[in-house]
Order: sequence, then structure tokens, then C-alpha cells
Amino acid sequence: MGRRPRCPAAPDPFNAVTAAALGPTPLWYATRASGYTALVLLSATVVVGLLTSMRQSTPAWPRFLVQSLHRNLSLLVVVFLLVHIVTSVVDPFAKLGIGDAIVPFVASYRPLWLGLGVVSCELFLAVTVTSLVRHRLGWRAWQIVHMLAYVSWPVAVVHGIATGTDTKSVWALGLVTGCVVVVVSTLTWRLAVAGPGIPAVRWGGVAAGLAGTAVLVAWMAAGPLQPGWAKASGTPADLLAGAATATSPAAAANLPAGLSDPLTGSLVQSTTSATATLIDSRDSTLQVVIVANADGSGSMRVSRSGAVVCSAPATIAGATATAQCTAVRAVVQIFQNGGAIGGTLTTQRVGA
Amino acid sequence: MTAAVPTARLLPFPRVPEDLTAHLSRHGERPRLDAGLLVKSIEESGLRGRGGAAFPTGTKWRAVMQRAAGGDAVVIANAAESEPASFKDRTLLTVRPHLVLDGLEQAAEAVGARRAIVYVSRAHGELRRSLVAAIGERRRRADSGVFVEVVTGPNRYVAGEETAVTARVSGRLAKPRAVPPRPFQRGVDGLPTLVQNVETLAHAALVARFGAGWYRSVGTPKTPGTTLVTATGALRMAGVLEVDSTTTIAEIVERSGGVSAEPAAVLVGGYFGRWVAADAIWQRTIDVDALRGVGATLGAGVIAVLPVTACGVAETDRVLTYLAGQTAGQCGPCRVGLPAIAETFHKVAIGSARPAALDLLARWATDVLGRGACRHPDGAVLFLASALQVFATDLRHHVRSGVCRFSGQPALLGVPETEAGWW
Amino acid sequence: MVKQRLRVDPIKCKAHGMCSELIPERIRLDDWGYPIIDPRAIGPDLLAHARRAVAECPRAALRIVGVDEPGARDRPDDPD
Repeated sequence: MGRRPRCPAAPDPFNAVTAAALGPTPLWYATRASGYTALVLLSATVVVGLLTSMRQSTPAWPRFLVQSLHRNLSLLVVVFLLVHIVTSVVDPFAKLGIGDAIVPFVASYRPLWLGLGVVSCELFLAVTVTSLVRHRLGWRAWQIVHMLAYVSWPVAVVHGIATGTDTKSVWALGLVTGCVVVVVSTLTWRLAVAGPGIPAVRWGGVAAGLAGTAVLVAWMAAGPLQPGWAKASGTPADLLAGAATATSPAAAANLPAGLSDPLTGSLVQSTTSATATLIDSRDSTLQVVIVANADGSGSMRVSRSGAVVCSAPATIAGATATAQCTAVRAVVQIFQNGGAIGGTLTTQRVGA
Repeated sequence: MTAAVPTARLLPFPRVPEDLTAHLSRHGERPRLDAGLLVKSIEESGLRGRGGAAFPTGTKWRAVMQRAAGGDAVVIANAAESEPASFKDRTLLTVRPHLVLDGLEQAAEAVGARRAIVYVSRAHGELRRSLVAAIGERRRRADSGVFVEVVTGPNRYVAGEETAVTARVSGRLAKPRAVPPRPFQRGVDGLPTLVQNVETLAHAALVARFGAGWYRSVGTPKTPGTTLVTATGALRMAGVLEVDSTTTIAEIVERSGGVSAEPAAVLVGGYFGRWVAADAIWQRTIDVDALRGVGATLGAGVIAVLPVTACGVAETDRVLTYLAGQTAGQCGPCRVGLPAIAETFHKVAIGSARPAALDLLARWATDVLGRGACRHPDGAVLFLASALQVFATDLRHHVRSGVCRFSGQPALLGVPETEAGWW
Repeated sequence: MVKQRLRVDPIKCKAHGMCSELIPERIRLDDWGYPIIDPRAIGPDLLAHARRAVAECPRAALRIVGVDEPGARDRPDDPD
């Protein structure tokens, strides 16, 4: 894919690395927060919907009010889904376009798991829209579409677990567990009390709910909760962290390839090693530190605005240091410049 | 004193099945009349439906004719006779199929129908066979007229209801549908459909030949013509009789060989009809007003005599249980209410209910009335209400002791075995 | 202005009971949870409640019709 020429004076705001280097954006947090909120609200919608069909009511909550609550919760889901989708598309981090939010499984970021979110959302929209025109549609057609809610919810749960950055955190695990437990137990209650006339269908539903939950737990243990899930799930390589945790998007940014920049800095020598600290003249946020040890070993560390972008061992040959930063090879040549030192930084994309 | 036997128009003696040749030699060819004139004739005759609701036949034909105007229509001869105590339709159709088929063809021509159907119950296999044979006889003639088909329905009480018939003929389950629209507006495959009892069609065939005046020459001005009744119960010779509206219950009983025991009550109309105390109805005619005076209608023409040696409570119990089991299950008050009513009545009958149960039954009867898609629950609860009134003393006795001297008698009002399906 | 009343389709109705909560002036429930409709006309003060009851019925079984609309029970001598 072609690269736009770098214009040093005006960093391209849609350059993912630039944006990532600025740190986690509000959009990224908004996507995650609205996603979890939507999941909670969707779970609540399903639960209250089940209560409506069971004709549950109390003196303070007559049946029409329970149904109203179900409807209002679903409209809130729409609101938070909108925020979730818009923020994820506008946020440059995962490089999602509007098409990725409409057509499932074509995104570059975790295509399968993100696609499930698209599927869940579209099923949910079908359920909601048909409910708004329920009277014109006729009950039977409405009912068939409404059953898709039982597909939309579990797909949303899987999407949230597999795509979510926060999956391993305690609060997210607790939240998702809570949602699943409440929905599955309410569904079991509903099927046990009443439901489709044929007992086999009802008990099959209970079995499916419990079995599905077991499969979900097993899958989570084997997949999303394991280290390395981010890569296995299809996070693009340039977004993966080096050795850092997955929670910091800035750390997942990599050293850009195709650089050929002049450096200026200083050299400090000791008996065992020499440390060169240089700043990129074209991009003053980029700092290179090279350590050359007496035994011939060396290391290179590149940081952007203080956040480490690359930290790797380097081979020192004379005044040239070469390091491999994941998929990018960085070469720094150093020369004397009066009392200070100068250099050039070239980076090249090569196979890791 | 034997009253004069009215003119035997539909069921002359002897009652042997009449083939096409015999029919033609008796009545000749079916007349081809102008539709408008025929319908007018039917209207003037005052002929009313003989299936139970007694709706003016001419009005019905005109309604279908107008709605079909230019387009297509369907006519159906309803021979389902799902009322277990009634035999008149089967008898008529077995003995005089060609008179009924004449009436069906007459109706089809009048309303412009391309399809004519005879709807029979699966339980009446013999009837179906003889009917098919009669239709075959007519088809073999050159000018056989309208193409007549036979459609079979399930052996269920509500399967003979007008909208259930059109549903079944349309290829769906034989369950009643909510009205409006009624079949004369939208019936089989959405077409205006005329559903008519077979006896009504037989009368119509005679009106077409002999005119409205002839039809009205017998009976009362308000209830002209003859009618078929099924006389059953404690009679020496139960059977189907042809009577007119000047005939009294006493005369019907006399023509049936008299009672085999002293009468206590009479069930008029059918299982959806009304109990009337024997002494209240014995000298009454079956004229509409006379029967209305004792809270009854002729309905499906059933006159069932309950003797003092039988238990009205037990009979009612059995019939109510049957009716509750015959719900199509579509409407809550019928699907849930009728079984609740039948169960409570049964508890009263066997003595395991409190006296308050009788008030509960009366309240439930008024609650259920008018709240189904068809009139099945209405029939059941009005039947119950008449029992609560006529057998009030017996019921109080049953509440206390659960049995009476006559419990355990063989059933007077029998109930058929129900099939499981709705096709 | 045609006088209006409520009518329920007994086949569609599944006894959810929301209608009697929303317009108890015209609808009460029988012993089994099914609605008994008062056939009296709906005045302007009740019309909004009636419309809401119609909208909320989960089975769309409730309708507002003119008082003269023929129903299943209005004529005793209905065709059979």
C-alpha cells in the first residue's frame, strides 16, 4: 500500500501512529465504555422482555409499565450502540471505516469478532424497527423477527469479550458474568414456568441456555483470557504492543518505516559503555538512545514523547548501530559534530 | 286425537333412498330460472335457515349475489350435522339427495357460483358414499349443470360452523374464525360464499318449482313451510319427523309412538339448546314465538324428551363435559371457561361442591356469553343456564347428596367419540 | 362525530391484561384473565386512554370501532 510522503510541519492527524503516540484518546475510552453500557442495557432489555412475556407484575409495576420499561431500555441500547459505533469509526486507532460497521467481517481489526458485533447490532435493529411498526406488521411476522433477540444478545456478549480491550480486567469480567448469569437464569425461569406449548421445545431451550453458557466459559478460558489473544484474534500487527501490556495503545505503536532523518545529540562515555542520546531533527518528539558496551553488545531505544516506541538489542559496527524493532529495521550512523554528535536514522520495513 | 299429518314435502313415505330416475319422475327437471326472480321468490317464501340460526334464506342469497356481482362465488351445502342428537340432515340427504343437490345447483346459478360443494363429516362414511353416487348419477347426464364436489371435515362439534366450513374448504383447519367478515362477504379463498344447511336447500329446490305461495300454504305466517325435527329421548319410536309450525310438542311425541315414561323436561334445539319443563312446553307449537315464550328456539330441530326416571343433572353434566371438550381452543373464555364450568358442574353433580358453586356457575355463564369468536361458548352456557333453572330442585339435592335415585341410568343424550384432528 | 367503543378479537387475545390496567373504566378481567369489554361509548375524556390501551396490547387484539360496527354478537339471528 502506498504511503503518503511525510510532511514534517504538519503531522497527518489520521496517521494511526501519530494519533496513538499521543496516548489513549477520549474516543477509544468512549467506545469501550459505551460498548459495555450497551451490553448491560441489552441484557436488561432481554430480562425485562422475558418478565413481560411472563406477565410478571407487582402493585407498583403493572404489566403495561413492565412492557414500557422493556421498550425504553431497548431505545437506550440504540443510543449507546450509536455512540459505540460512531466513536469506533471516528477513532483512528483501529482504522475502522463506516463500511466496517455495516458489512460484517471485512474490518482489518479482529475481523471475525468485530463482525459479530455488526451482526448483533443489525439483528437488534431489525427487532427494534419491527417493534415500532408492530401494529402494521401483524403479530406473527413481528414475533418471528423478535425471536432474533435471542441470537443478538449472545453474539453481542461474544463480540464484547473477544473484541474488548478490557476483557481480562476484574470489573469487565464481573460485568459480563453478571449479564450472562441474569439473562440465562431469567430465561430458564421463563421456560420452566411457561412458554411454547411443546415441553420438548421448552426444555431444549433451557438446555441450550445452560450449554451455551458452559461453552462460553470454556471458550473464554481457552481464548480471550489467554495471553496472546490480541494477536490471535486478528489485531493488526502494527497495533500490537511489543512487550508491553495490551492496555496502552501508545505502546502498541511501532517505529515507522521509511524514515531517513538527521539526528543531533550528545555522547557520554564511561569505562564500560558509551551512551548516545539523540533527537530527530525533523520530528523533535522522537528520541534515540544507543548504548554500546565494551563487550561488543548494544541496545537501542526509540521513544516518542517519552513513551517507548522501540526497545531492542542492537549490533554495533564501528559508528553504526542496527536494531530490529518488530517489523522495522532501524539503522543509526553517528559522527562527531564539534563538541556534540550527529547522526542519521533510517528505518526500513523488513520481515520480522 | 291425531292431528292431520302435514304435507310430506321433504320426506314422503316410504323412506327409501331416491335415485335420480325416481326423483325426476316425482318432480321433473330442475327449473332454470332468472336469478333475480328466484331470489325474490325465496325471499317471499319466508324460508329460514335450518342449521340452527334460522337466518332468512332469501336475504342471504341476495347478499352473496350482490357481492359476487359479475365475479365468482362459492356455494356450500352444509351436511356436517355435528349436533350429536340430530339425524334430520343425514336422513334427508340419504333419502332425497337429488332434491338437496337441486337446491345446491339452484343456489349456485342464482349467485353466480362456479364451485358447489357438499361438506360432510368424516364420521358419516355411509352418507358420503351414497352422496358421491348421487353426484355421479347427475354427472353422467349431458346437461349436468354445476360441478359438485364433496369435501370432508373432522368429526367435531364446531367443525359445522359456517366459518369453520369455509376454512376447511379453503384447505385450512376446520376452526371457526372471528367475524366480520362473514362468509357471504369473504369466504372460501376470499370469495363471497353461501353456506346453507342441506334441509334449507331442499326447501329452496321446492320453492323454485312450486313458488313462494305454495311454500307458505302450510304453517303460520311468521313460520311458514314444513320443517324436519329429530324426536329422541324417552319415546317409543324416536326418529325424524316432518312437521310444521302448528305442530305441538305433544303431537310430535304422539307421532313418535308416545312417551315411554312420564316426561319431566324437554331439550329443545340441540346440545346448544335449552331445557324446558315438560308441562311448560307440552301444548306449545314449534312456532318461533311460541318457543321464545319459554326461552327456547327450534335450533337444529332436536326435541329430546327427558323422563322423570332419568337424571337431568347427569345428562347435563355429560353434555357440558362434551361441549367443553369440543372447544376449538382459540378464545380464552371458551378454552379455559368452558372446562372450568364443566368441571364445577360435575362436582355439583357428584356432590363434592358447595352450594355456592351454583352461583359461581351462573356468574361464569354470564361472563362467558358473547366472548368467543363463534357461538359455541354461547350455546354451552345458555344450555347450562336453562339447566340451572329447570333442574334447580334436583341441583340442590345433588349438591347435598351427590346422587339421586336415577343416577346410573343409561345415557339419554349420547356423546360421540371425538377425533384428534381438525382436518 | 361517530360514537366509538372498544372491541377485542377473542382469537388474538392472550390475556396479557394490560388493557384493563390502562382503561379499567371500560375493561375488566374475568376469573381467567381475559377481558370483558363494556360496550358503552368512549367519551373524549377516555379516548386517550383507549388509544394507549390499543397501542400497548402485545397481540394487537384490541381495536376502537364505531358503535354501529357489526360484531359477532350484535344480531341474535346471525347466519349460521
